[in-house]
Amino acid sequence: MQRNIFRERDQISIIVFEVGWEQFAIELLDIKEIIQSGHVRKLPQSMDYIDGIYNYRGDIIHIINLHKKLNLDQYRLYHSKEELYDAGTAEEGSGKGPNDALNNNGGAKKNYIIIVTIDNNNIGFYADKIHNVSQINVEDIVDLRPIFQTSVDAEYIKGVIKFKDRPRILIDLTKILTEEEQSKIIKNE
Amino acid sequence: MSSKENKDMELFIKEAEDIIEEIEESILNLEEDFKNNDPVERLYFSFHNLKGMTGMVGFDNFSKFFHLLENLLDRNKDYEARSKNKKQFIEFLFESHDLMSNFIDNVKSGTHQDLNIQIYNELRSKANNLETSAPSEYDITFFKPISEEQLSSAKVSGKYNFYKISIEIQASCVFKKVRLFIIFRALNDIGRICSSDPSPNLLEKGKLDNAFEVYFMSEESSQKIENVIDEILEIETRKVTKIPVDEFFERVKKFSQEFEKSGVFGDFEEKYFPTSQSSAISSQIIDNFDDLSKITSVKVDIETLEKLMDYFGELVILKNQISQILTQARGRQGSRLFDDMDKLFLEIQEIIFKLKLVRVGKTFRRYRRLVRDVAEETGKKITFILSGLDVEIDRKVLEELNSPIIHLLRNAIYHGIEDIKERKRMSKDPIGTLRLESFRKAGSIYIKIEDDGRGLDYEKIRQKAVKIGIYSPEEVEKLSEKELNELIFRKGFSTLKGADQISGRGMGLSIVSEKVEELGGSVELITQKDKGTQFILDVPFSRAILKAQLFQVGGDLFAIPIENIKQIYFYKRQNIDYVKGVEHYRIDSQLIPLVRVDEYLGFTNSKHSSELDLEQTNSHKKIAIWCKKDENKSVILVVDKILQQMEVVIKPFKSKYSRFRSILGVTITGDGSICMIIDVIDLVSNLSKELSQNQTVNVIK
Amino acid sequence: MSKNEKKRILVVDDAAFTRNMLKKIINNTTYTEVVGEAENGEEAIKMYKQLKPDLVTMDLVMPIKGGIETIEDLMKLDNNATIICVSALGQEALVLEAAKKGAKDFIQKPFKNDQVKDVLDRILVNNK
Repeated sequence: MQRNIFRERDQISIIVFEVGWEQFAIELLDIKEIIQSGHVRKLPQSMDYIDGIYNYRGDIIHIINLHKKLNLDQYRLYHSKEELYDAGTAEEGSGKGPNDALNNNGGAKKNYIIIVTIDNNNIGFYADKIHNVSQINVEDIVDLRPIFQTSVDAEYIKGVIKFKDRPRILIDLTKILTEEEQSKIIKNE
Repeated sequence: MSSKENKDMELFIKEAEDIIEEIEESILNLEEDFKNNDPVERLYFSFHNLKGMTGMVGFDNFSKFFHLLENLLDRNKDYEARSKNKKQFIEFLFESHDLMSNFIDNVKSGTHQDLNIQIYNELRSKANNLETSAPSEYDITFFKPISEEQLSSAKVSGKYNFYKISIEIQASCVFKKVRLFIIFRALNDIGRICSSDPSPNLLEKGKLDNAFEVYFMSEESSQKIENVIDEILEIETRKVTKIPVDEFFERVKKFSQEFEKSGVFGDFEEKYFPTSQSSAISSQIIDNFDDLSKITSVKVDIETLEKLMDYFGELVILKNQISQILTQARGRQGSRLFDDMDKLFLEIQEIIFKLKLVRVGKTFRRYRRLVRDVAEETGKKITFILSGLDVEIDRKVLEELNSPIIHLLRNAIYHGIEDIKERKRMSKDPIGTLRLESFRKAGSIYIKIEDDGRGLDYEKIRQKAVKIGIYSPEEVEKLSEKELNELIFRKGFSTLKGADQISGRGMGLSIVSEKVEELGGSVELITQKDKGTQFILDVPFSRAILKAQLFQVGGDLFAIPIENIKQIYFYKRQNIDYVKGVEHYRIDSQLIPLVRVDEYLGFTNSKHSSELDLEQTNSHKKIAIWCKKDENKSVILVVDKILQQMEVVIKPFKSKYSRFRSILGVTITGDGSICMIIDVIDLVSNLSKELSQNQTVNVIK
Repeated sequence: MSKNEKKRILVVDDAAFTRNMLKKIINNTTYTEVVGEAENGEEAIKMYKQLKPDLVTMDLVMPIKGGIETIEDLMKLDNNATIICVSALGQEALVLEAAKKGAKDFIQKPFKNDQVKDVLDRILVNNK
């Protein structure tokens, strides 16, 4: 039923990543690279969901704080065990990234940056934890769009993946910035 | 063709292109200031070099042609010589330039065609015609300094006799210069004068007390030489002495060195060295070695450069990983070595970035030819003013800007600047002014093309907009000038037939704005009817070098240009004073507005970090940097920690995620961190605006 | 050329006085004679073609066609033409130009008999 989005594929490769207490899935194809985060410097007088800028191989990219961008504090998409996140322990089957957070900002562990290309510009998204790549049957993805027809926010939600333990949103990071927001990204070179 | 030959040809093309470019510039310079001998001298060198180069790769007719040009220049190196023929002389040079330029283009595209001998003959007769009417007051002694190699081969050939000739002119002789000319001519007809005493420079100016000596080599006997001299009038005494070769050499060498020092180079007078093929070739090779030793720059194509930068970027990342491992291992020796390496990395990074920069001057000067030609074509008279030639800009960006600039220059001449008659009628200076200027400001390079022509006719643009159905007559009246300006950049607006007359601008302005926008820049248009038009291209400069003071605020690196710093102090709380509720810092008796950088940039939630000062211990002293915009406007920046000063390479950076506009750009330090460079000038101007606004608010309260 | 044959000279000058002076001096030797007189450059060229003289004396400032131009044309006509300029004081630039165009030598007005004879000696007799 979602064939159009997934271009007639039966299976897609996804990566599950964590931001705060939320877990999202992202299609491997949408990702340029995932890097371990280094020093992200603050951007003066910036929007609150911009964590700063980062030197990605000589390219200065903006780093977006999904937590703030998606207002995760306000709208919990999935009420998982909050204490699990606070304890910082890993769930079964999760990635094995180093937990010695370089950037301990308000309890969040911004260990990784997911690099995505939007209109030839690279943009980074912080992730606290990255899980393994897995193959998902397209059949297991539920299209939510009919439900959120009027909601603009639904643009970046490709669907919900039914995992055994719990569903996770399949997010499209390339659509997470509204058109207006995208236009604000200026090519630096 | 073998790969070696290919390489040679590539080298030949690159070098020739450079020289041809220089030639064009020299011709333009000469045309502008015809009395100036420097361009002639440079042209002479250029032709000389091309002669050798084309000869070596086997374009014999071209080599002959350059020889011809070289001689032409040599004979016209004095203003008096060329003064009668300015127009034809310049035209001939331009014609020659275009011929060469075509030639190189052909070679580049694989057509290795030598100059047609018929064309050569035509050019030669043209050159000769130029000369016949050119009188000369100087150019009397026509010397050709002789190279050591030439002397050696002359010696080996055994054909020549070496003479010292002493001549005394009659005291009654009035026209000494002419007399010298006649003597020199007579001697050069039967041999070669290699040196003189007094030196040729002095003789040229007619400075001699009747007696002088020349060092002369010839195949002729002394008897024959005496006979030749005896035919000349007004000679009191003459003495022709055969001298030992070594003495002759000594004498001539000294002279040649002086001659070279004076910047005038010799000609290769084949006439006197027809001897053997081998000697000519050997000296050509030696010439070539000489050139090699003088090379101070090499050309690298941009692709290679980009590759180098990419690899270097990868290297920096690897280096950072090694750094982490080293820190974990705590090996002291390793760390020290690493630090040394780090410094080198920084140096290399700077060098690589610098490589990509070029001054706009070289490219800008090339437009002089364009302007000249278009002006000639349209019969308009134009003063073309170039400024900001030292501004450095990324090669690639400059290349991309080439066609927009050409377009705007052409338009300005075709449609902007009025013809002489109309300008007179408008009581404007009949000579139009066209300006091409570049300057750097707040993260951008600006390129301004400004004419003093008729400006845009908004009324006609409105009419056009209605006619082609973009707007209704009612709508069009409401359009602001800004909107009308945007209209002419619109695709399809100005390309329509008849646009020339209505808009006063030619076609394809949309292409200009597209191209500039592709580079991340924008085009601004300022126009005033009958006063002129300015196009301002604003292009972010990708990289530029700046000497900067680094400092730290809230754990992040910042820098400001050293040129904006007046003084650096340890911050002292007791120097704070309030003026109308705004914090100021006292230096001597002056009160300077103060900016706490962390607060200002929104790095801290505490709006009262000044209160924290009280808690501050001596171990962490803040720093106050006194920055100036100009003599009247300055600001104190309070920062956490002062770091080193260094030359930084500015990468352009603009972010619409940030309201903070006073950013010159960023620079990447050796460890890959981003250092933000603050545009102090912009900051100070904004601040003074804010302050004055605040003050009025206070008054209302 | 036989020794007995006199050298043939064309005198070009717009002033009859000067022409006469030169003629007197030239015809007074045993080895030279004036074969033609021209008042301007155009005449001179015509006569040169007809007469093929051994030497031409050339005034530099003349009406219709000046000396410089005439020398130029003569040299084109005959690359070996022997031309001696006759100039007034203060004409150094002009004389130099003439020399560059191919004039062999020059004498200045007012000239003395000896000077003209010297020219003839040096140029026509020495140069056999």
